[in-house]
Amino acid sequence: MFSSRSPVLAVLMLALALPAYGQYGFHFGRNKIQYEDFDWHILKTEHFDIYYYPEMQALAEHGAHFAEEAYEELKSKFNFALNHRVPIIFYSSNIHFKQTNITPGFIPDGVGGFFEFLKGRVVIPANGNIHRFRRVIRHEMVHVFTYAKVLRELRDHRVAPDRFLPLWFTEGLAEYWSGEPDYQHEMVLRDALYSNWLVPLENIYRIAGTYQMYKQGEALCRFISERYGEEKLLQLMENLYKTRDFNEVMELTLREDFLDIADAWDAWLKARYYPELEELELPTRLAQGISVQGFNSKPAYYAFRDGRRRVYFMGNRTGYTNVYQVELDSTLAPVGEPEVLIHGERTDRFEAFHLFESRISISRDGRLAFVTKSGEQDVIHVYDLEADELGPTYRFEGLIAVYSPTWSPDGTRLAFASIDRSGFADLYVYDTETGLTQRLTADSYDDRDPSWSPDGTRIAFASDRTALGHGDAYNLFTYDLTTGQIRYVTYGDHHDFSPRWSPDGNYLLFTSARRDSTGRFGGQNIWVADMRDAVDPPPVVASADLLPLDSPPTAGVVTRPLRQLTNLTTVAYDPVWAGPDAIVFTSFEGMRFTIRRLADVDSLMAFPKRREQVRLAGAGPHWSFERLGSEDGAERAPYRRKYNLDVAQGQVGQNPFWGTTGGAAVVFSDMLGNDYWYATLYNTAESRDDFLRSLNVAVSRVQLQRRANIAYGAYRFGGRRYDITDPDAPRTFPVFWETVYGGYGAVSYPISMFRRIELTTSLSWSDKEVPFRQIDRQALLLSNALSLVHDNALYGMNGPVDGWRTNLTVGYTTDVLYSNVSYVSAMADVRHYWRLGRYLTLASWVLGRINSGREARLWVLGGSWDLRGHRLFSIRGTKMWFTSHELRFPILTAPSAFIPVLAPFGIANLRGALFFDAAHAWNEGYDVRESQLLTGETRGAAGLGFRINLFGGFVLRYDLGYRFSDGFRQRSDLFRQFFFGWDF
Amino acid sequence: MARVAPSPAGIAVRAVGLALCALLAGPGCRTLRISPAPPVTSADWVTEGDAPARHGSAAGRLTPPLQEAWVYNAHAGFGTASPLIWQHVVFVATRKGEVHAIDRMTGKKRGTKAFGDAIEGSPVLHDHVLYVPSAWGGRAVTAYDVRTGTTRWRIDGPPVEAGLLVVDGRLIVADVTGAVRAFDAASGQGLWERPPDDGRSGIFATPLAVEGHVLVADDRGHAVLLEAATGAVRWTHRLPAPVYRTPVTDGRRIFVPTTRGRFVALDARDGRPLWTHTEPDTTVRFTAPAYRDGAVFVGTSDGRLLRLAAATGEVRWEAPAGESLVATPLPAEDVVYVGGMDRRLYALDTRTGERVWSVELEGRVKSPMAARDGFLVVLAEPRFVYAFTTATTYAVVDP
Repeated sequence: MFSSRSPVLAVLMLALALPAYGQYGFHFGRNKIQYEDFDWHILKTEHFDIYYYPEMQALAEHGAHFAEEAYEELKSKFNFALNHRVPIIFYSSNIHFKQTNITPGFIPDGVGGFFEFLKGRVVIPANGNIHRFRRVIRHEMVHVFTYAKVLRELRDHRVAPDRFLPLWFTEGLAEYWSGEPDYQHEMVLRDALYSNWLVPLENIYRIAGTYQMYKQGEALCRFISERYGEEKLLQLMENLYKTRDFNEVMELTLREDFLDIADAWDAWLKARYYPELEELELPTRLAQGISVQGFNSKPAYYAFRDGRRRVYFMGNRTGYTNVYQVELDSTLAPVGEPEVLIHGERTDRFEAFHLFESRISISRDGRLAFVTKSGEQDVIHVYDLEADELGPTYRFEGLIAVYSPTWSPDGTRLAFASIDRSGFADLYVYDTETGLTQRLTADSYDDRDPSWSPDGTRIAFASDRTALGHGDAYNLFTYDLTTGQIRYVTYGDHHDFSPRWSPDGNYLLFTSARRDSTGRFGGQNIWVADMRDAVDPPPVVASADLLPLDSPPTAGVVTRPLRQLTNLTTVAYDPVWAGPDAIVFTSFEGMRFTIRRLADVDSLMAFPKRREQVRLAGAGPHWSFERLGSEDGAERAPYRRKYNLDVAQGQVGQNPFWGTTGGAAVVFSDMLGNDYWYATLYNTAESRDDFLRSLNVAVSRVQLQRRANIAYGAYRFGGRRYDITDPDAPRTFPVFWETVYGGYGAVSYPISMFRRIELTTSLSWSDKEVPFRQIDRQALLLSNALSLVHDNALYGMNGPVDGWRTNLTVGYTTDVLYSNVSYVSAMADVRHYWRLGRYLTLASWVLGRINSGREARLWVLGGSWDLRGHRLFSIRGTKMWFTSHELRFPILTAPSAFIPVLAPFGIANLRGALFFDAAHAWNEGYDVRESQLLTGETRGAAGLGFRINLFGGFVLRYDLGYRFSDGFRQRSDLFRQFFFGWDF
Repeated sequence: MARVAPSPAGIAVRAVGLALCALLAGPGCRTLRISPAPPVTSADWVTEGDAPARHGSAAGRLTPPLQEAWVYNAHAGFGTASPLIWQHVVFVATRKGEVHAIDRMTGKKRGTKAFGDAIEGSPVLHDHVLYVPSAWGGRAVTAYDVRTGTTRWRIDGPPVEAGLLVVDGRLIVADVTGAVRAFDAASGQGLWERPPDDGRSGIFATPLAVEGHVLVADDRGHAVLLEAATGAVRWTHRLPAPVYRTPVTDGRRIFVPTTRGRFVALDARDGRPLWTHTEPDTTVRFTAPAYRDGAVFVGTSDGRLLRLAAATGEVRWEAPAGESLVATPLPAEDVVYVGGMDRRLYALDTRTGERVWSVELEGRVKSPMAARDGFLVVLAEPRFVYAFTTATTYAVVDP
């Protein structure tokens, strides 16, 4: 139940979200690092437990008010009330949110929050925009109500809760009932209709989880409400007990054939949007493309001293976000394809870019400033374009998120927007010569997109501090660096964003989204404000105390001329001047974000789409949202850890060989997901006498709240075991009796997102009995292992496609009592993925493993996951090497490029792999053959494989090829192997 | 011959076998037969709202504090179906499609009968025949003789989510397609049918009897008064919002709750609107109202109970109750009872709205209540039937 702030990030979410479990039990995986030691508190309101940390108390109190406000509204909309308290966990920024342990997965930029089912928790970060914060709270509260109501309906009817509403409905309803449609909603729907990619209702499952689905779902709920009545939305939930097929539920509820409903929705949309098309311009027709592949945003233009011209921008063409550059000719047409200037998201320094949230800026002397996440906060990097070298990196104490740096004209200072631990966004100036940071604004308004004027006296920015901001309007302002006064540049119930000064300082370029005559938002267009003020408008903020004046001076009405340069079907973002007569901007069309050039700006200025004189005087007073704190009856208390049951699972099995086996596992965790207890009880006894002997019990605790994750536990395993790695077990059927009890500890310390050190130790008593070989061995085993893990691999639908990863491990196991066991272990596992083309990857894997000493365990190989064509784990030895190489290529990629979730339905993303594997395992001598273990000979396989991903997480594999043995001197007949699992 | 002890696996197999037999046999054993069967009198609460006019007011004293007499587990939740009280038996319909007969004195089960997959609307008991609407599963209405435990007749057709009405020997059935049909209650023979106005409206509010007529209101806001005998339309009126809950009448006026913040009083003679109570928040839904002594009691989805003057619509008082109200209030002599979505049952002073008593229940209250002679039946989530009695006056004479 994710909600997204940015459409493209949501689109990318599935592609970029990688499993975060790498630290625990798996060799690889990136690290989710807890940089912060949050001092959690709870604010108890009438219906909610609000979890927050003291630095963000004001924001938490706003959030508490928004939650109660939403509750009051939703109980009427749902005709329902919750009978449990809802835990809401707030974070003051996305960077803090990324550290949450409530979900194990990585959280990309743009995720506005989520609701999880296990404990019914709602988790929401702030991003400086309090309107957005309020809307996300409402969105998630709709999920809370929906989940509770549907579950109640099913239980009332005694129907198993093995069904739920489709995602398009739950997310669409959450969007629909969380507020009026915003300009992004209109943007997506207009584009869907004008670019002809609207997914019909009958196929909407194909875009499950994407931003398009959210917006189409929202439009569907609005359509149902308008055509059939809002009450039908509730009836759709109430009728879910009747059938699992939601299409049928729709027919039953709306009393119309499903395809007729689908057609009616299509017609309803077209009736709303098609009449406007005649007046509008498609970005592709209006402006020439500069970079049109992948996702592109935040352009900046620079003319070199030697006359070259380039546009720089953030882009994601391969799965990694990078800074790109593209050469332009004298007509500002692109020369060649964009090239990567800064490789992002592979190193600690450029850990993650804010692809759609942070602008880049180039100083007059050619220094590019851009922001990346690096560790626990955002930093500003500088790259000298003239010298073509990376410059300094600026890190700011106490500032967590940093956005959109802009250079002062003399190139000594950087202005930027930032969110500190309070969760509010303000403006700052950093002096690169003195190292001092000055805070320009300090309030709860969302100040963003600063742009320094060419004369150095003012900073233009966008903000909701406008008197109309309470209704979610954003206008432009200037901050006077001499007096500290803030003045209006624009005023009105619009979304005015992204100001950029013209080189002569006479004009301010910006984007504006406005409502049309129907009350809906139209396209977001490029506008120009004339900044040649004859009379300064009155200030709205005094310099002395940064407090808004209650009533701005109204002596004399000040107006400012504005000109609308475009009338786009969809949206323009972040326009910048490219010389005196051209503008470079990001456009959205056909679900693509592209960089485009708008030429002949002079004529557009002379003959704009629209002229406007905006009145700046008389703007209204300060506004703020209400808060709900202890003075309003809410109780405040420090967070105390309590454990609740997450999972309880039991199992009974019957097997001709093992007899009846049974057991249970339970997991407890605290509300913040920082502390887990696992307990397992299992018994494999075949008779009453064996009951105690075959009792298996393990208790573990895993603590995740600190940077170093810690696990420890105690266990007792006993009974008959099947262990192919035991050197004393019979070779063909390795079964024996063993009783082991002891304890273990493990520490995983992430050095960065991509690297970590793991240390594990265990001490256990082992009593092993191998009847067939008359072995009865007792040992007190001490085992230690140390690993270094690196992983920056980028996952495609079937496995890694770029980057590399490695695991280097050494260990020592010894019997400290009888010296019956003593062996060292070493392993090096390196996997590299060369991106030969957008869809073509050469993957190479080299692996070496050694266990050496007394009672050294056997390593295993064989099967579809490594040495193909061989039976699973059929090759066993204390020492082995293995190598595998795959050329991974697409067979069917179809629309998965920007609708990747089509792939789970089997109609896209069918991929192939040409593979070559080789391995050699040995025990005593390199060439000593043991037929039961397949040691002493180099074996291999070569062939062709096919891969397909089902449901986004289940990869089916089919390989066929030749198996080789005896040092590749012998070749078997063609083998075929069908299995599942990700590519290595 | 030596006796061999069964293995653990053998014991397990036998236990599973027995359990399966019990499961298979269980449903077959279920029946609903009340014998001896006392006559159904006007003193019984045998239809939603106690009477075809749906006033929903408790006769006799029901003075708080009430005492919990018993709690019965019905094994499923409840829709908008009212419990019925017939002498010494309480009937309760569940969303699982069962009707339970519960002994009024002891709270013990006297029988259970499945009627389709779900029951949403209120059954009605008339001349020892229990008429049960089915909201899902192919059946529409079943007429079941509770004396003999046999089905008299059955109608298949579109689901019926509204409650049933018996007036002058005719059974009135309004279904989710918007059709209204009348049947001879004794034989099941169809008498007349009013087809739906359009293809998309449905009826979810229980019809009510108004001086020999039948009022039905649908989910597109159409209110229609029909001749009970012929189905002829006496008048129609377009309400400002859909109707999902049962209206009530005092004979001269019909009080109609809607889902969008409007509560409308219509003139029973011609359907002319007399007054409208309007909530500022148009998302507010009203519960089914109850009528007593010139006052209309109605709850709101934002958790208020209102007392309105039946003649003018003037709000005499409004009082917070229940977090959110879905269930029909039940006025008694001095107090009005209402069950809330906050898992509590409240009693409020009918004159002032002051809360005089409340009790916590296992779950939310979403269904109408029924009351007789100091005995109150409340249905609460997840599956419990509560019986409350007045502290001093409760007595049932088993005939």
